[in-house]
Amino acid sequence: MNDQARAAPLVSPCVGICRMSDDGGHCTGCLRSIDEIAAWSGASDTFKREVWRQLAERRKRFGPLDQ
Amino acid sequence: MPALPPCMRVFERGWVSSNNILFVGRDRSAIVDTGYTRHAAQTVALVRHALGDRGLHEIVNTHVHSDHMGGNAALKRAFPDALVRIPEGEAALVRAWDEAALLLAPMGQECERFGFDQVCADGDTLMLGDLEWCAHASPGHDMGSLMLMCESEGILISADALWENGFGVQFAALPPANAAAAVFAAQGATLDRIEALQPRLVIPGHGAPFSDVAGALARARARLDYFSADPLRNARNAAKVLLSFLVMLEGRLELATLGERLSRLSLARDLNGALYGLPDADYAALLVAQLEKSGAVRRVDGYLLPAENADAANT
Repeated sequence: MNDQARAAPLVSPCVGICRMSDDGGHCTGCLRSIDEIAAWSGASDTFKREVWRQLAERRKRFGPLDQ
Repeated sequence: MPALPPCMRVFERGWVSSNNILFVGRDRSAIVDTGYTRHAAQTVALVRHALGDRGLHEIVNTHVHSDHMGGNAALKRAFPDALVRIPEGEAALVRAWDEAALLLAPMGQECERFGFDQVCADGDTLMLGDLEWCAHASPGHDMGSLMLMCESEGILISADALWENGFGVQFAALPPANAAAAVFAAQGATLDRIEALQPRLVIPGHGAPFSDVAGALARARARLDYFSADPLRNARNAAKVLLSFLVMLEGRLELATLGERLSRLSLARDLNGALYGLPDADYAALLVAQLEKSGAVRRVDGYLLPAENADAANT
């Protein structure tokens, strides 16, 4: 894996929807919890990679983003 | 990224909402910049989440663009005791809620109206999160905008005066105003001021906080030189940024009606007149091609969509 590939997943998962689900559990755009959004800017790369990994799982559960 | 003092939190989302910087002091809490109005409910949720039982006492804006002040009204509703503080030089625009001068209607952007309680000017000192911050004028992207510097921590809140890769559009330099040289000189002086302040960490208005300040200043100066050599380059960039922001805001735009849509936005129309003089549909097609080339957008089934990593391409 080159440097670029290693860095690529660490951008913010935000897709600019920025609206929480009715139960407040997750953002309807990026599927992150409020904890994960709030922590993102100061979080470690390990944390960010783990969030990206979980988002892929959540996307399967919630279905593709409806634009 | 170097650690922030424990009293500071940065909420970084996408490009459409500016970073929100929350300060939780011993007795008082404050937020600097509040994002775009459409995202305001989530902004309030983020602030409540971080504050717990505490209140919010102050809302500060670096400048009065839709992506920096859009959460003010919702935060004021959620925290009625919070005092709103805006740059002194922009007080008249907000008081009159001049949708043209605030660059709302001309760019197809929205912002919930709010009132303010206090102003802030170059040289003023603010206490945010038990730290002392000094306001510095930062004309260029916005002629009335302010940056905030904490000398004791070496942290600069630069807003759109300096990003890791560039700075915000130089709006006052756009045609038909004949002010490009003065505006670019002001932006250059702002970059000099940032260098003199010697921050160890910059929290920009968009994107992650960064510590390679010398590198960012070098990139910004190269970009400013490029614009100064031909001011229409800034105008061409502004036309692209307007569309790129709009597509990130809407999620997708119908390509068949894009020319007509742009023709209803006075800034887009003025830039077409000054730069290209094209029929609406051809102007839209030209901007789409330019944004596709820079990797900021993609075309899917008759719609224009932001690229998967539009933020990275938006500089």
